[in-house]
Amino acid sequence: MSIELSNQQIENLFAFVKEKYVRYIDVQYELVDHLATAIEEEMNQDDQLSFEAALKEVYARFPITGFDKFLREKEKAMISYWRRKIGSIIMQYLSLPKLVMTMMLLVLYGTLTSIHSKWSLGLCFTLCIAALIYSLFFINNGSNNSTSNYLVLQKFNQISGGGTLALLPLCFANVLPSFNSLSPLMFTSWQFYLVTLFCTISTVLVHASIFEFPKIIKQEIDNKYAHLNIKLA
Amino acid sequence: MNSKLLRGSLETIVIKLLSDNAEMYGYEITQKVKEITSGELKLTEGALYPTLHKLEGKGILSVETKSIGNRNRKYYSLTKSGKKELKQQMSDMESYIANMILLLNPKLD
Repeated sequence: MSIELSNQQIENLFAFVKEKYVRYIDVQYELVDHLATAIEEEMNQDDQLSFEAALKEVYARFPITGFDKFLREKEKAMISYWRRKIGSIIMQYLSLPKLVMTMMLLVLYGTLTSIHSKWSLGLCFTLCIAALIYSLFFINNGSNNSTSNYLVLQKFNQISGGGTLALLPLCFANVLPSFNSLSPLMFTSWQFYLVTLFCTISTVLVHASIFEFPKIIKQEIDNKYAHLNIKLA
Repeated sequence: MNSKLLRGSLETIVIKLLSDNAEMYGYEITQKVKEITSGELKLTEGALYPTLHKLEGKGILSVETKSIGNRNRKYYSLTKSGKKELKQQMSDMESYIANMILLLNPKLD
C-alpha cells in the first residue's frame, strides 16, 4: 500500500516552508504539494526512510539558496503575467466598443483645452484628480490587510496601481508654472494637445481601475485560488 | 549530462511534454523526463519551476488547482498560444540540432 502523508505531516511542511522565508500563502501551497509528492515517492521506494529524512533529501534538490530562486522567479513571472493581462484590458479602450468612450474623452478634454484659458485647464485637472482620488480611496481592488500575504494580490496591486499615478505629474509638469503668474497662458498648440492626451489616458486608467480591474482579480481568485478562501475587500 | 545544455532546452521540453499530456503537475514533469530518458536527463526543481513560472507568465501555460486528498495541486496545460509556440520551438530545435550535427561532424572530402 503506497504511503500518503498525514494531515499533521502536511502541516509540518507548511511550517517548514514558512521557516524558509516563504511568506506568500499561495506560494506555500505550491511548494508543499511538490515537497509532499516527492517525499511520498522517496518513502514508497524506501520504507525505512523517515519523513524527516525524506524531507531533507527532497529539499537538497533545491539550489543552495533554498527556495529563494523559486520565489524570485515566481515574483518575476507574476509581474509579467499581470502586465500582460492589465495591458490587454487597457488595449480594449483602443478598440470598439470602449473606443467610443475614449474618443468622447478626447473630445471633452480637447474642447476644454481649446478654450486656452487657465480655468478650462484647471477644470481638466480637477476632473482627472477627482477621478484619481475616487479610485484611490473609494474603490478597493481587493486590497485589505491580507493582500501582502498573497503573491497574486500583491503583484496585481503593484501593476494595476502604478500607471495612473505615474501620468499625473506629466500633466502638471507642463502646466503648473503658468498658473503662478498673472499673465495669460502662453501655451503652444502641441502643449494643449499633450494635456488633452494625458488627461484622456489618465481618465481611461481610472475607469479601468474602477470597472475592469476588480472583475479580473475576482475571476483570477475564483478560477485558480478558490482553495485559499481569499476574501477580497 | 551537461546542465547548461539542458537549461537551454527546458522550455521546449516542458512545452512538448504538455502537448503530449493534457495536463501535468510539476513533480510529474520531472519524473516523466527521467522515465523517458531512462535517467539520462534529470530536471531539478531549481531548473523546472522557474521555467514553468516563466511560461505561465508569458501566457503559454495555463494553471488549474485541484484538491488531491489533504492538499491542493497545480496542474499545468498548454494554452492556444502554447500550441502555436510548440510548432515554433520544435522547428527551431530541429534546425539547431541539424546545424550542430553539421558543425560537430563535418564531412571530409
